[in-house]
Amino acid sequence: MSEDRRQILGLLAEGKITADEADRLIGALGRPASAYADPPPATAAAPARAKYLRVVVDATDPGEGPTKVNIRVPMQLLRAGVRLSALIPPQARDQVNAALSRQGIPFDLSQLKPENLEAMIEQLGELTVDVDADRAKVRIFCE
Amino acid sequence: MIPLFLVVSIRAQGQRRFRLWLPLVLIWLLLSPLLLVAIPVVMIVGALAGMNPFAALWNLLAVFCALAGTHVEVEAPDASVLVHVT
Repeated sequence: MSEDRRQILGLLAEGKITADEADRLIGALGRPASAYADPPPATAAAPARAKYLRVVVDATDPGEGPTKVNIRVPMQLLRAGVRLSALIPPQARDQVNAALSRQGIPFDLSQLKPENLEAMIEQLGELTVDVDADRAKVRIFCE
Repeated sequence: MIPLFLVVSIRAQGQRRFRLWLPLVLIWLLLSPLLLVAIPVVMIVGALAGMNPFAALWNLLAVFCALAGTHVEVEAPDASVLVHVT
C-alpha cells in the first residue's frame, strides 16, 4: 500500500473525511497526471460545422492544356435539395429509382428523409476524397 | 439569407472576358408580379401531381435562399466560366 493511500485511509479512520471523499481521493491516485491538465478548448474538441462542400479538380490534357474546376456548394443548398426531393411524387420517385438501378446505383430515394438529413450532413463534414491520378487531381472536402 | 448578386463571367477562346453583375433583388422585384400569377398555377399543378403545394413552394424558396455562397469556376485553356452567387 502506498503512503498516499495510507494517509487517505488514516483520514477516513479519524473521521476527517467521509467514505465518499476517501473513495474519490483513492480513485484520483490511479489517474495519470494528464487527466488533471486543463481540458482542450471546445473548438478543438468539436469541429466547426461544415458550411460548404468543395470540389476541386486540377486536370492536364496533353493536347489541350490544364483545366481547373473549383466548385463550392453551400450545405444549406444540400439540405434544401434533400427536403425538395422528399416532395417528389411516388410514381416519379419509382422511375428515378429504376433509372438509378439501371445505371448501377442501387439507391432508394424514399430512404432520403429529412429526419436523417442532419446526421448525413454531419457525417459529410468529415468527408475528404482525394484522387491523385497521372493527369488529374480531384479533391472533395467540406469546409 | 436571400442571394443579392449573381456574378457571371465567361471567356471564350480568342475573345475578351464578358463579366456580368446581376442584382438579384432588382430582378426579383421586377418579376414579383409575374410570380404572383405563377404561384396559384404552380400550386394547382402541384396538387394535381400529388405534391403538397405549400411544402413545395416553401422548399423552392429554401433552395433559392440557400444559393447564396455558391461558386462554380471552370478554367480551361480555350474558355472559362465563373458563376458566383452572393
